[in-house]
Amino acid sequence: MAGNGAVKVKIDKVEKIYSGRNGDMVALNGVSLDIMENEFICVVGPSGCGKSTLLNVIAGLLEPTSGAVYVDGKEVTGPGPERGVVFQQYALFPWLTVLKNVQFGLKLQGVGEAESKETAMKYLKMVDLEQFADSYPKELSGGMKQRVAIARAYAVNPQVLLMDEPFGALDAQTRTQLQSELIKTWQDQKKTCFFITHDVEEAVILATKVIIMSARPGRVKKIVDIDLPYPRTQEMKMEMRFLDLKSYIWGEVYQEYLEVRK
Amino acid sequence: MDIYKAAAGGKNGDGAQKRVKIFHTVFYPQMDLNLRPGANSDRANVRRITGDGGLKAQPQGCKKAGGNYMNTKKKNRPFWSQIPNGAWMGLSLVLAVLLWIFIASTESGGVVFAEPWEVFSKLVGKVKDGTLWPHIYVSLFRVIAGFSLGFVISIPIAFLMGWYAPFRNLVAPWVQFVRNIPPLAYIPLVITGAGVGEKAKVIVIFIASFLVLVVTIYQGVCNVDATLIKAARVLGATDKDIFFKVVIPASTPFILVGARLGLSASLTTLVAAELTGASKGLGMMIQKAQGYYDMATVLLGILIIGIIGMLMEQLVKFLERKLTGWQETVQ
Repeated sequence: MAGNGAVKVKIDKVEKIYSGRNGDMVALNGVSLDIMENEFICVVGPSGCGKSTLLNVIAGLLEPTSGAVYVDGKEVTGPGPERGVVFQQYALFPWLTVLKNVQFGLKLQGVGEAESKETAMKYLKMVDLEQFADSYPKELSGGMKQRVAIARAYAVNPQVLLMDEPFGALDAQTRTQLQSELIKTWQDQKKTCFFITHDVEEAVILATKVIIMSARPGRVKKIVDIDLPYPRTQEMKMEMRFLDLKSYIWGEVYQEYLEVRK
Repeated sequence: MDIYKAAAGGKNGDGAQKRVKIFHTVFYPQMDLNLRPGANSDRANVRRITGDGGLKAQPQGCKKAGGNYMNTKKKNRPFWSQIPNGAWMGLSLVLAVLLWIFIASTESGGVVFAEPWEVFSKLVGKVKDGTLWPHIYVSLFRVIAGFSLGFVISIPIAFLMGWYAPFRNLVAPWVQFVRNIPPLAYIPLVITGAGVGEKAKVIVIFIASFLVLVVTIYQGVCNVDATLIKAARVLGATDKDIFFKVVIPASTPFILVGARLGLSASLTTLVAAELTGASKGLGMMIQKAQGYYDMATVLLGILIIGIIGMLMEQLVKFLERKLTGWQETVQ
């Protein structure tokens, strides 16, 4: 249901090998994946399967050992404003107010003070934090910080949003709430999303497609289409179809986890 | 393994589905509690903490709550915890003066320590005849000139060390080497090179403060959170942007700590610097008074240097509060 058929991000046989003191470690072993426009991809897999490495390669923060990533057919050679990133550790600039954090990317692009402020306020409103515009990050809770980070990523209007376990450090309640907000935001302003999580339930409720990655070396093990209807609600988590998908994916991930244990 | 089998087989049949359902009602019985529209933990937290929903009120709110809690177990609270800081300061000062009077009144202590009123009358005398101010002025000038030079030069050097490995590998051993040499040891070299004028004193103070500053700021540059640099980069920051908009602000707390330590190093080196031969300066005043066995003047010089040090420290602390109030602090 999502996407209009155009390939937005093409991951082409990406391989990433870290060479360390104890020899080479293959983090990604020829990962290929086509992400359609406006798809919401969730990537699940056991720890150390290269999920974050893959995200960093797409973001242009890491160079693949071989293979390449293409966004709109153009090869990724470094970070770019058309790809926004939300980090697990929020990564807000602690010396800037909430508003200035959201303005940061806009100002780098040369947008003037008044205009960037207006845009930033619009996105702060989107995450329901406009009353905290002049607060510093230290005055916010973890969930609020992450909402600022999401607003900051949205403000520069990227076409692809990369999220590296953004809700991983939050408590269960806040996490559920931010999931609902993210679904709503994505529905209002469609973007291609690439979302990494440990939480299978989170993956199923958010995604149009779940990518299951295999244990080290990381490969795409399975792609599961999530055919739950929109608008998605938290109540769906009790529905049979959701539980089916969840337990199926959970089983696949658990198998990989056992592989790692071996 | 059983749970895994049940879950993995969820697609295969009614029996398995039933098991999954049971699995869920067992493990997520309170799920619907989380789904209440009002279950907004963030906002609920803020409201609970601040009472009035305003974030500005948070610190007071926290303090008050803590205070009330403490009051309920009053007997565990020591009496001195209610004395305000200013009173402690005064008490400390009074005690120091009393101790001073006591030592000065003893036979062996009296040889070293002139009595407080003696030092005070020296102060009044020197202020009246105008001989004190030039000493203070000249010394302050040397400290500020040497320190400012050290500050301005240490920042680019420290950032280069943090930023470019080749530069760090070359320069870090030099810094480590010179750092452990007391300034008195290289004063002959400075005098030979720069003569006995103002230049020599400023150079000695410069070296002392520069070393402290470089080491501290370099630590700060190394400690910049890599995620912040990544975050800036994906928002489109160039190397220059990252340097000015991320690395410098992130290192500001370390720069200020460096400034505090550097100022203190400058003052402690002052007397040594003025040993290089000076006609004016607090260190010189102390040196000269020693020749006349004038312990009151020596003490006066020591007191003034100490007070200048404390004032400078307060100034930097004030700047810290102004510039780095954004830091998360552990209380």
